Amino acid sequence: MINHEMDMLIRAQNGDEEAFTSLVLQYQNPVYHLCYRMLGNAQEAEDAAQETFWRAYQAIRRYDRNRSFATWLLSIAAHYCIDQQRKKRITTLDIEDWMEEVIPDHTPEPEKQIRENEERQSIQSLLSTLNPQDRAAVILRYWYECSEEEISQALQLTVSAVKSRLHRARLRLAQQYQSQQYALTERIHDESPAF
Amino acid sequence: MSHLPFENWIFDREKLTPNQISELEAHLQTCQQCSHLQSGWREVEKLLQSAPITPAPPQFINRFQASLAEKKAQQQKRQVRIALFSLGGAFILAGMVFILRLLWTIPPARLLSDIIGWIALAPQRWSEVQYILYYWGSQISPLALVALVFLLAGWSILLLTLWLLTFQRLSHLGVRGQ
Repeated sequence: MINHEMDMLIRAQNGDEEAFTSLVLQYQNPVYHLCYRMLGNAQEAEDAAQETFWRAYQAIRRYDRNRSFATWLLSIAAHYCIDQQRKKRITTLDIEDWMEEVIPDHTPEPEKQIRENEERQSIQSLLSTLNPQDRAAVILRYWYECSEEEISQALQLTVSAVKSRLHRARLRLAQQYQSQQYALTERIHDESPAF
Repeated sequence: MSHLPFENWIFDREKLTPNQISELEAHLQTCQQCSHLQSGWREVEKLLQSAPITPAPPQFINRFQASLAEKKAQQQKRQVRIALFSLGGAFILAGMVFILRLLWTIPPARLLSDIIGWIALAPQRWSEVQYILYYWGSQISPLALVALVFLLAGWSILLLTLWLLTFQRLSHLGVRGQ
């Protein structure tokens, strides 16, 4: 861990609010991104990220400095999002909602923005087919490059459970991608004018 | 046809030995299902690896600071409420224990007659107390009287300061000092 970050952590553990705020500034993007990928909605993701930092603030004194702070923070975010997803499961998820969700981007290149949004929606619709814990494992593996051990620590699972979840998730994603492509090809075929 | 271990190998290519890779390639030549799975996974992997980190919305930190202040204030209020309720509860409990003990040791009829006797004799007792105070007031030297007043005032100021400090701590720092 970088010395400056360790210094901030020690100060935050001693109740220095300014030091904690600088940690929030440093980790706001990774935490927000995890929440966004888990929940698929910008507003819900912001609420979840805010809640994550509030929970971290309350628990900072109990944080073990031998552990990675990023993993600890992402673990709080992942657990919160998994809980939210479980609560939401009662009101069934509508994939169309995921597809419609577009994060406002202020980049001056509209084509790049459209392409990125399409990719984002495509990934989001694939991720939405996974159960919350599998989704969290995939997000931690592919965006945060967490090892299976780190994922197991973050999600409080055994390493073998993480392996089996990752396998199941990859299989599901690949199959889902293929079926989406198949549906797309069928639609194009149906819509093409008859000569 | 069995797709194991090839199905697993498709997802963990980087961990395979050269022999396993050639075995997998040979299987993919003959198995359409695994071949489709591999092409699907490659596309998904590409999507996952190319997707950038979504940045937090602008002013996220400002909203965090505002919500932190608000939540801390709420938590503090809750703590003060809990502390006051606990204190009140402790007093009520102590009072109830005292009353129960009285009822346990003294018969209720005697307790009632004692209370009525105390109420009836209260004016007389008050005049006795006044007499004692006047008597000691006249007996005591003026210097000792001033010292007594100072002593009482000192204790009052000390207790008042302690009360104010506790109140300030409760209202500004919360019960747990957060």
